[in-house]
Amino acid sequence: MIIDGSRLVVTDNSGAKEVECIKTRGRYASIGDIITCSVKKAVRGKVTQGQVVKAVIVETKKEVQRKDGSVIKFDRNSAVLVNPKGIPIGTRVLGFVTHELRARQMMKVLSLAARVF
Amino acid sequence: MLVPLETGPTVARLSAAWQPAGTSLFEGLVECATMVLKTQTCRFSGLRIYPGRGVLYIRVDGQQFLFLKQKCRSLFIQRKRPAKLAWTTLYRKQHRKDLEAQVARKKRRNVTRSATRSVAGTSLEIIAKKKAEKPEARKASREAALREIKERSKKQKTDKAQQKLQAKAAGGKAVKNMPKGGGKVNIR
Repeated sequence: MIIDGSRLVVTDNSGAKEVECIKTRGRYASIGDIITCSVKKAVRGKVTQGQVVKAVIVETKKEVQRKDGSVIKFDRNSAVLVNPKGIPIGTRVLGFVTHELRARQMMKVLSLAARVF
Repeated sequence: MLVPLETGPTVARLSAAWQPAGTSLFEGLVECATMVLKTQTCRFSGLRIYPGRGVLYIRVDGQQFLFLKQKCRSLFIQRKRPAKLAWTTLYRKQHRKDLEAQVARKKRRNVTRSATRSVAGTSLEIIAKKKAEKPEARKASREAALREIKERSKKQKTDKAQQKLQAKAAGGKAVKNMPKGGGKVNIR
């Protein structure tokens, strides 16, 4: 349940560490949605602080329901920076991702992830 | 509205409480044969979680916690120990509450089987002979063996005593070769 102003942890090696959501499609954004964000904290990498980037949400504290009735939730809100096509900017995805990305055609992010829930 | 399960080859017993009233979709399913559901267990309480219930909570370190309901999750976040809450399976196990069923299962039957094959070390005939031996005969043979051992040890003792006497008698000759005094240096 990410809205404009939510801060997300970036779980890839693009250089950004924390990102603030500035635009969601609709009112709330959840796992699998692509949001526009501004980089709030960055280390040496492909992006710099202040840059406006797109990111796909991979973990949310708000539960995500699935068709089989199971519910999954994480400990933090995190995102992976992508280009408008959905291909990640970084080369590694360090956090967790879920199968929801499969339905959104985020295959590259899924393949880079260490653990898929 | 109940959602049909996508999970595979399992069947569920749809009890009357599950069916929403008056939906034709489920009248057909009621006639269904009994199925076997795959349930998971709550990480906190140990109770069974049926499909469609429970929440999977994934921590940052990657550990997964499956909770049956908000009660379990809340207590977990408060860092309560399930072993201290009387309604959890962990408590019941620790306080041995459901012991009768466990004990009944664990009773083993000691089955004595007659020897049918020879074993490494003895052949079948020897085993059969030992089995057919009478207890008195066994006792007698055992006593005989013990007596033999006693006599042998006695003999060894007497032999040793004799050897010691002989050594003492020849003691003066042996000093040069075996200084018993612990290496006293003779300064002369």
